[in-house]
Amino acid sequence: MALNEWLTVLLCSVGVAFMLLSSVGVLRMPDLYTRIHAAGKAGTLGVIGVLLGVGLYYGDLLSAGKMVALIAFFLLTSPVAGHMIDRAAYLTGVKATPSTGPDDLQGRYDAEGRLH
Amino acid sequence: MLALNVVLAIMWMTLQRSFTLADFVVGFGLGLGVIMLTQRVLREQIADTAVLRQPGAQQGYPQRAILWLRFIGFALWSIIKANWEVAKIVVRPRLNINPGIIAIPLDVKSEIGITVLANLITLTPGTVSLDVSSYKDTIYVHCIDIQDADAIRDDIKQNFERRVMELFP
Repeated sequence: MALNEWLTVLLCSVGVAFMLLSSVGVLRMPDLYTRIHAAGKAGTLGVIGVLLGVGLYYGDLLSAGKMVALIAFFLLTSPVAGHMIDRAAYLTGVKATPSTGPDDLQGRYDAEGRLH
Repeated sequence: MLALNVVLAIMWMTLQRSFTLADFVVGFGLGLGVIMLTQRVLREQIADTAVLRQPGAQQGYPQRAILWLRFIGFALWSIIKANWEVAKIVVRPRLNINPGIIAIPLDVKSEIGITVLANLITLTPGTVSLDVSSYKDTIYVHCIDIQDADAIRDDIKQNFERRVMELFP
């Protein structure tokens, strides 16, 4: 195989490995808030790896440009999704796993859902 | 707005891989639709950046370009680190993590600055931004594993907020 084919295989494998880790994380984590970490983070590098691999496979500038644009859009939108799910869960009172960590948000919302 | 519309039309033609007049018209029409939908937010953003561009508020273009490149490099490196950290937590044989929510006081003032900072926090090791207080002076962050809350607070203030404030005050 040519060098760029090897690189494609390597990038896609790394990407898929991170996606697998992210799915395992979603299964293993104790509550919604920690699952968001696993889904939103380990998944990012997975998507970046696979997209870079695809861009390299086609090898022309336009495909590479499209992949870079896709990665940029993904990096802009994925944290917003994670943040919105987390916030909606907190506002609707989804229980967190019992832990000794602090909760500085407790009692900070007033009756109209405004945060002080 | 017109310049943005033309850029959107050219992007459409590039992605279609065909540069005919018809493609330009279709791209221009679609771009017009997008701008119509986002007009209100766009106008606020333009007003916001006009405030940031007041004389003396910022350095010249070359310095800003270098700052941007450094910021993008730093963000990408942080994302790779975040993935690695979370992956390490996932494969731990025993999940002895200590999640919680901590409040971090904000020094960055502009809306775009807070948005960039919140996104950066969500993209980086073990932290997801949950909400910003209505006076925009505190951001609440969920951490997957708190060993030392003050260390996390310092890290976000020293590393992330400082770099964001270099670009958006």
